[in-house]
Amino acid sequence: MKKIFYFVAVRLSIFTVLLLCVTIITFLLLRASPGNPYSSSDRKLSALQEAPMREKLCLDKPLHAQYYCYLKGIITGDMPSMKFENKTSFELLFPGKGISEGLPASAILGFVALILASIFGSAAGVIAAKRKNTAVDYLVMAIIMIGITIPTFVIGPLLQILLAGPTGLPKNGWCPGLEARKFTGESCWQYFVLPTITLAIAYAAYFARFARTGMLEVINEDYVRTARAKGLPGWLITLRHEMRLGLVKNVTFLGPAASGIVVGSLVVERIFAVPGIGKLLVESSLDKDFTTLMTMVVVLFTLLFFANLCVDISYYFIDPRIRKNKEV
Amino acid sequence: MKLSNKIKSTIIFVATFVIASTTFDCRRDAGKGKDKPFRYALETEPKTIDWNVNDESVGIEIAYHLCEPLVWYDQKTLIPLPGAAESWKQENLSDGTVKITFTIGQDRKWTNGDPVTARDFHYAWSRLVDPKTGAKYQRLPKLFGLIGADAYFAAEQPINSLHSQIEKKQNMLDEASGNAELVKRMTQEVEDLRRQKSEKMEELEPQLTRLSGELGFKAENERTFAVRVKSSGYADIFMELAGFAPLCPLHQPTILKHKMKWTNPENIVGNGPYKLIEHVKDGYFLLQKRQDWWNAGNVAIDRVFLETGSKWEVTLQRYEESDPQKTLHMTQTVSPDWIKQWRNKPDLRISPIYGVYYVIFQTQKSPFNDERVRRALCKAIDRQHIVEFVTQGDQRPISAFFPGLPNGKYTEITGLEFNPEQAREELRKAGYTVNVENDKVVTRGFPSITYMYNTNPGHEAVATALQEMWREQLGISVQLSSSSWKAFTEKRERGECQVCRGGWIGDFLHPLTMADILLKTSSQNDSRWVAPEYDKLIGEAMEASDSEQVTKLFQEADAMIAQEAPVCPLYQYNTVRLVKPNVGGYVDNLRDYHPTWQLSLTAPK
Repeated sequence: MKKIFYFVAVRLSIFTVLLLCVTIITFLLLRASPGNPYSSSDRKLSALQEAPMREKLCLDKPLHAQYYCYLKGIITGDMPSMKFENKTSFELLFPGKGISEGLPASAILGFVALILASIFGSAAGVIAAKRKNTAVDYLVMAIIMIGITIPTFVIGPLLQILLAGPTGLPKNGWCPGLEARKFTGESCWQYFVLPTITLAIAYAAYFARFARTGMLEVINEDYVRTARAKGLPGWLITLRHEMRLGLVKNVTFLGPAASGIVVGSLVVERIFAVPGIGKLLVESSLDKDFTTLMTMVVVLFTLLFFANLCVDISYYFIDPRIRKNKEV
Repeated sequence: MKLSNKIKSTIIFVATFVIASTTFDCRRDAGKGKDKPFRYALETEPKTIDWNVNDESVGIEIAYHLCEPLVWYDQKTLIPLPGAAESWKQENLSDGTVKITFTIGQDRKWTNGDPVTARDFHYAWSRLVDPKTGAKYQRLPKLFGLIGADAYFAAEQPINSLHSQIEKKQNMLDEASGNAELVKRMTQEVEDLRRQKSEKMEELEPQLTRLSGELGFKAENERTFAVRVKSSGYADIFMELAGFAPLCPLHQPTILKHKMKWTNPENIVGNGPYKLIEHVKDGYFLLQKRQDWWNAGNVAIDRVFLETGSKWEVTLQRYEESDPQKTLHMTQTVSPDWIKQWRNKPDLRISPIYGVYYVIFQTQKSPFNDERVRRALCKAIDRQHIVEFVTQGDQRPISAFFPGLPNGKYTEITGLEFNPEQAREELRKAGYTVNVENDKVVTRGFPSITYMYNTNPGHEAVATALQEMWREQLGISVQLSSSSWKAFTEKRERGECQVCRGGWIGDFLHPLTMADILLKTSSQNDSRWVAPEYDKLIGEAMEASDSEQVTKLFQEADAMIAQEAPVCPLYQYNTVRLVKPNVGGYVDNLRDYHPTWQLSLTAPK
C-alpha cells in the first residue's frame, strides 16, 4: 500500500505542474485569438457588467497580472461569466440544482453511459470469446461493427423513433429541477434511458472488441488450463481467472473512453436537449466567454486526469504482477 | 439436449423482451400533478431577465410574467387596461405639454409583500436612463417625447458617441482577424476609447444627475406617478409604450442588496402575475401564479414553464408530444421551413405585426441620386409575386411605408404600385434608352448595380427575385452581394450599398416609429435621404393636437416617401407561432402581445 501512496503522491505533483501548464497555454491561446474579451458585438456587455469585469480580470494591467487574476478567479470560484450578468463561470458549470443542469448533468449522463458501455460491452466480448467461431460470436462481432460505424447523431434519432413512442419514454429533455418534479410528479430516471443508451452504444462496441481480444489471449494460458484440469466449474474459471487479466485492456480503455464520452456527450446533449455543458462549451467559444471557457478547460482537465489516475490505481489491484513488482 | 436448452433460453428471453416492451409504459409517471402546466417554448435562453436592461424579445416575454407595467393592453383592441396603475388621467397644460397622472392601485404588491409605489417607478426609470446601467432602451423616453429628455440625452451624447465608436471598432476588429498588426492596433484603440468613455462618464456625472432631476417623470406621492410629454401626439405614443417591459417598476432594496444577482430565483422580487420558482439554464423558467396579485381572480393558468434553449426540431417534437403534462402549448416562432407543413392546421397562427420589409436606395450616389430611377425600380417590383411564391409566409404586400393601424387610428396610403410600363417610362425620363427588342426589355446606358443583403436563405430568395424582376421589366443588370449581418450593417451604415435590403419593426404602434428612420438626423437613415420638407411634416404631426390632423400629416409624409422613393416597401412582417387549439384567450394582434395571464387552457379534444 505504501507503493500506491507514493504513486499517487507523484501523480498529484505532476498534476499540479500540468494544470499550471494547461492554464497558461489556454490563457495565452485565448488572449491571442482575434479581438479582446469584448470584441464580439453579438455579445454586448452591459455597463453594469463592464467595470466590475475589468477589475476582476485585471484587464488594465500587464499580461502576467491578468493571468494571475484568472488563476485567482478559478481557485476562488468567483470569476464572472462574460455572457451572463448574474452568474460566475463556476455557477454556470455547477448551478447547484443537482443533476438538472450544468456539469453534474453531463457527468451523470457520461458516468452512467460509461458504466453501461463497460458492463454490457465487456459481457458481450466475453461471451463472444467463449463462443468463438459460433453464431453468437458472429452476431456479437456484427453488432460491434454496427455500433462502431453508425454515428451517435444517427443512433440518437433512431432510438427516439423506435423506442420513445412505444414505451412512452420522453423523446428529449432532461431531469427537471426539484420544484418542477414536485409539481409534475415525474421521476428523473426516464430521461436517462435514451441519452445514455445512445452514448453507450459506440463505446460498448469498443469494450466488446477489446474484451474479446483480451479473453482470447488468456483462454489458452497454462494457468487456465490448470484450473480446468482441477475441475473448477466453467463460470468460476471465467470470472476468477480469465476475466481478471482478459479485461485489463478494457480497464485501460476506460480512461480514453471517459474523454471520448465527454466529447460525445455534446452531440447527445444536442439531440436530447440535455442542459449540460455541451451547449455551454460551444456557446462560450462562439461568444468568446473566455472566463467560462477557461474554467471549463480546468475542470474538465481535472476530471479526466483523476479518471485516468483511478484507472492506473486500479491496475495495482487487478494485476498481481504489479503488486509484486514483477516484470509485466 | 444442449441445443434444445439454448433454444428454450432464447425463446424465453425474446418472449420476456416482447412482453416487457408492450406492457411497460413510462406514461404511468405522467399525470400525477394537480394541474397541467402551460408550456411555452421561447426561442433561446435570455442573457438576463432584468427587465430594465433587457433588449431581447425572449427576455421581454419573460418579463411580462414577472413584472407589471403601468398598463396592460387588451389583445384585441390594444387599448390600455389597468396594470400597476388603477387609473390615469391626461391633462393639457398651458405651455402646450401634456401631463399624464397615474394612480398606483393600493392593492398592488411586490412578491415580498411590500406595496408597489410611485417611487418604484421613479427608481426604475432613473436607472433606465442612467448611462452606467447601459440599458438598450435607455433612449426610450426621448422617443415618447418626455420633457427634459432632449437636454438629458444631448448632455449624454458624448458618452453615447464613444459607445457607438467602441461598438464600430469591435465590429471592425472581428473582421480584421487575419491581420495581427491591425488587430493589435485596433485592440489598443478600443481600450483607449473605453478609458475615454469611463472618464467622460465620471466627468458628466454631476451634470447628468442634475438633468435627470429635470426629467418629466415624478413620484408626486406614494401612489401618484406623473409623466410630462411634449405634446398630445407624444402622449399617444407614450400610452403605446407605457405597458412596455423596460418601463416596469423595480424594487430598489432588492437591487441594492443583491446587485447583479437580484434576478436569481431566490432573490428576485417582482410585481407581476407570476412568481419565479425555478430556473434551469437552457431548460426552463418555472413560474407559479401569485395568489396575492390584485387581479389573480382573472388568471386561469396556475403554472407556467417557459422553455428555453431548444432547437426548432426539439421544440417541434415537444409540441407534437401527446402527453398533456409534457406537451408544449405555444411556441414563440416557427422555423420557416415548417410553415408549409402546418399551413392547413389550426395551430399555425400567422399575424401581421407593425413592421416593413423594404428596399433601400442610396440617394447620394449615382444612379440612385435621381428619384426617377428609384421610382422606376420600385414600380418594377411585383410584391404579390414575392409574397406568394418567394417568401410564402402569408405576408401582406404593402406599398406604403407606414402600415395602417386598427380602430381607425391610422389609414395607410397607396404608394408606388407595380406598373412595369410606368417604370420604364420613369427610366426614359431619367435619360436612359429603354426599348423592347424581341420581347425583351433593353436599357442602354444604365450602369450595373449591386444589391446587398445579409446572408440568409430568405433574403437570398428575395434578392434573386428582385434581380430577375429588374432584369425582366427594366432590362438592367443587377449583381447580388451577401455578407454576414455584422459586415452588412457596417457597409449599410457607411453608405457603401447602392441598393440593399432593409427591415424595421416598430417599437410602438404609431407611424412615428417608421417615420423616424428617414429623418435627416436619424442614425437609421441608411438611404441618406435629405428632405427638409419631410422632417418638417413629421415635426408638425407630432405637435398637432387633432388626431385627424396627425393622420393627414403622416399620410402626406408617406406620400412624399412614395414620390421620392428613398425606400421601396415590399411587405409587412408577420409573426408565426404554433398555438394549440385548447389555448383560450389567444388573439392575433399587431403587437404580437399575448400575456400568459390573459390565456387559459381547456381540456384537449
